Amino acid sequence: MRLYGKIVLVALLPLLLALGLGFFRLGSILRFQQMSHRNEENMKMTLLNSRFEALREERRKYAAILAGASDAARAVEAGDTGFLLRWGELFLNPVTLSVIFFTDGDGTVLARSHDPYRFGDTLKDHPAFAPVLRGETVTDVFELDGMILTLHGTPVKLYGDVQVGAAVVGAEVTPELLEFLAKGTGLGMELKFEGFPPVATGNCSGERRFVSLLSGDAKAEPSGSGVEYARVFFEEDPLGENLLIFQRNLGLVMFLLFILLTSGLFLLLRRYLRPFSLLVEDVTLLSGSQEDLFRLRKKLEKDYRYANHEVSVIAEALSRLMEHVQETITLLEWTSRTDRLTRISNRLHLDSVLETSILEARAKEEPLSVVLFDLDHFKQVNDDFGHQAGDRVLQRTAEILKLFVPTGFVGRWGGEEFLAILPGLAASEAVAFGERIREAIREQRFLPDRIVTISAGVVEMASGDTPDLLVGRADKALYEAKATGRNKVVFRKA
Amino acid sequence: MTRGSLGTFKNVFFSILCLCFFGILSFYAISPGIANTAYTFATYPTNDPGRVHAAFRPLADFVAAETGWTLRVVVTRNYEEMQRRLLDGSVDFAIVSPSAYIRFSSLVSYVATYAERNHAKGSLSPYYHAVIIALKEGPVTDLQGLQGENFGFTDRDSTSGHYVPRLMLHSAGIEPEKFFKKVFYLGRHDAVIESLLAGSIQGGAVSDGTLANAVSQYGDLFRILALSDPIPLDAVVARPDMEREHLEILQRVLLSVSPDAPPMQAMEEHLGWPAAGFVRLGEGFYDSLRRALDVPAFSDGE
Repeated sequence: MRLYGKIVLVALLPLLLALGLGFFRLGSILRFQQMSHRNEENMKMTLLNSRFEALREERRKYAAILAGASDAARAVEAGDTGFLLRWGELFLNPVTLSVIFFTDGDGTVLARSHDPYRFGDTLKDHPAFAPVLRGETVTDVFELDGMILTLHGTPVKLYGDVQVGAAVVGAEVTPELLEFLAKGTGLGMELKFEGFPPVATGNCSGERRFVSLLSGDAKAEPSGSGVEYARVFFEEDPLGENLLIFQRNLGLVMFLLFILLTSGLFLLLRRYLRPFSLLVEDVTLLSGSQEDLFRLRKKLEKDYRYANHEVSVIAEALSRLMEHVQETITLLEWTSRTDRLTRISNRLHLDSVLETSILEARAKEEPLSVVLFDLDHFKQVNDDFGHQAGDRVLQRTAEILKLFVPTGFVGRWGGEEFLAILPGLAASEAVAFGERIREAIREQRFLPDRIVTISAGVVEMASGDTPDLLVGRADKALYEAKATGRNKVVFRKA
Repeated sequence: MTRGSLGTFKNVFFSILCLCFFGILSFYAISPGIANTAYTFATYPTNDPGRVHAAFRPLADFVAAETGWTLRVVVTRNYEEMQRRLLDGSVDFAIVSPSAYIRFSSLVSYVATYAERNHAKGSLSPYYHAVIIALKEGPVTDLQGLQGENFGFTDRDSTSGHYVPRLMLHSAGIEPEKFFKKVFYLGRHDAVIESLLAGSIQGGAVSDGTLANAVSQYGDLFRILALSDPIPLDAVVARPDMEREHLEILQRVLLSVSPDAPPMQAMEEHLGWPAAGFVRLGEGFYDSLRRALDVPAFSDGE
């Protein structure tokens, strides 16, 4: 993994950890809120059931009072509609006790306190009245007079003993009644009676969660006489909803933020660290000897000149270091291939050059000639004039050779022997070259009263020649020149 | 002046002052015309209690203005309550139906009789009528047509809403409890009209004044199946222990009410009665009704 990848990873791990913990904490809060909301709903349902029960109890009491008054019983017996109307009006309530019926023992309506001028019809066969006329009490939901009514009926008894009629009280199932029951709870209620449109509070919606009163444990649920369904709708949990939305949005934002941060950090680090990486790569290539020091130095100077400050400073320092190394290497190379006395190539270097020259000449199909020189009677010079004089002779000979070599190399082959490698020169040209050197040496006054001469063996490269073969033949030519009188140039064919 | 004579003078002066105070107090206490007297005037609910109260409030104000009394108007629930309150003194004056007056005339003091304007004759009349009615658009055209139908009286103690109509039915050979499907007592005259219009009853008994009021309100929708003989109008009575002087003052004030006075207009406005004032009639005025009501059928109905 690259350096900036590691940095991005290290930088983002704490961020990821913090975001994850925050997300987990938010989830915990959300679950707690949902649990609280459920508890609140249960409490509201309990409250609703209590209200149902209280309403039933209230109706039962009112029915008992309305039917139990002796004046009312006498009025029922006597058909005193006026009294019954006045009596019932005292108890009427537009929401929770909106209907009051009195009938005589035959089921003929004596009074509807809620509708004072409508009476005289019979309700003896109505399911809310028939049981009451038989002496029972009834509590249920019924259809009557075109209304859905929750009714409680009780017999009217004279002297508390002789049944003379029935008193049935209750309320029309209206949105107002349901609102009254659900007041302060935020619950919605909806009741559907066969053949009637549903009656509902204003806050009922098909999208809201609801439970059935018919199948629940609500004590006041209708017994099912014509009731298709009775539902309780629960209030939305705005805090929970908002938390859920917040969690979703936070997740999205966090994801986007994470992507942005990752990308941004990656790009930023990449921008600043990539030059370091490239620099490392380049230096690594150098260490692996896969890159030339000079080219790399030029590359550093060129490529990292406009990189960020740190990289350019490092690159510049490396460049200077490489320059110094290169100079040192150059010096070492020169030292290793140069003869210390004559300052021309030594035999080691000449071996390398000769090998290379043979390959190049063979590749270019050009001639290559080699001339091996040897100073005549050089031992005598050392003996007569001393080694320092001999060294000066050698140095001066090397200068003459360098001066006369047209193209190619010249070096000290060993002792007083010198080798000239002449690429592109045929044998005749090489012989001419050798003659010019011989003349120049002979005319040179190295020592007082002493003429120094030089002999030379010349050969031209033939096919199949190796450096040893070529130099061996030159050596034989030189030997022939020495043997035949010295101070001469001898060409020897392959 | 010596110290002793000064004390005697103070005692005499204080005694005279006390005597003056108590004298003034006694004068106000025994002077009914000057003392701040508060009385309660009661009427019965022939109609909606609010309308009845509004109809009689101007009359009470008129009496109060003429006498200096403070007069409170109450509408009792029925004649029974009115009788009880007259006797226990929680009501001082009351206007009662003729039948009620006949029943407890021996217990109260007669003050005056309410009179109405006879539009046909253009004169004052202390009589009215009871009518048995049905809807014109219904199938009932006579009393026999009501057989097996629902019938409505007003109040058991109402003269024109129960006693007299029951006499009329009896005269026609009809015993209500057997002849009709069901007999209802609706408490008020206007309730009979409203129930008839609602179809809850097919026949009912009301005063002719109530009928006239209904006709003016709803149009000529009603068929009169039977009309009673003239019935003496309501009587104004006082509680039995009312001071004689106040009784005479009230009588004088009521008799002074002109037919066009605001209290009469209020009665016509709120109850539809053609009220025209009050007259004082002899004790024998209600005898004919007393004799008429004294029949076996009525007694049974009671």
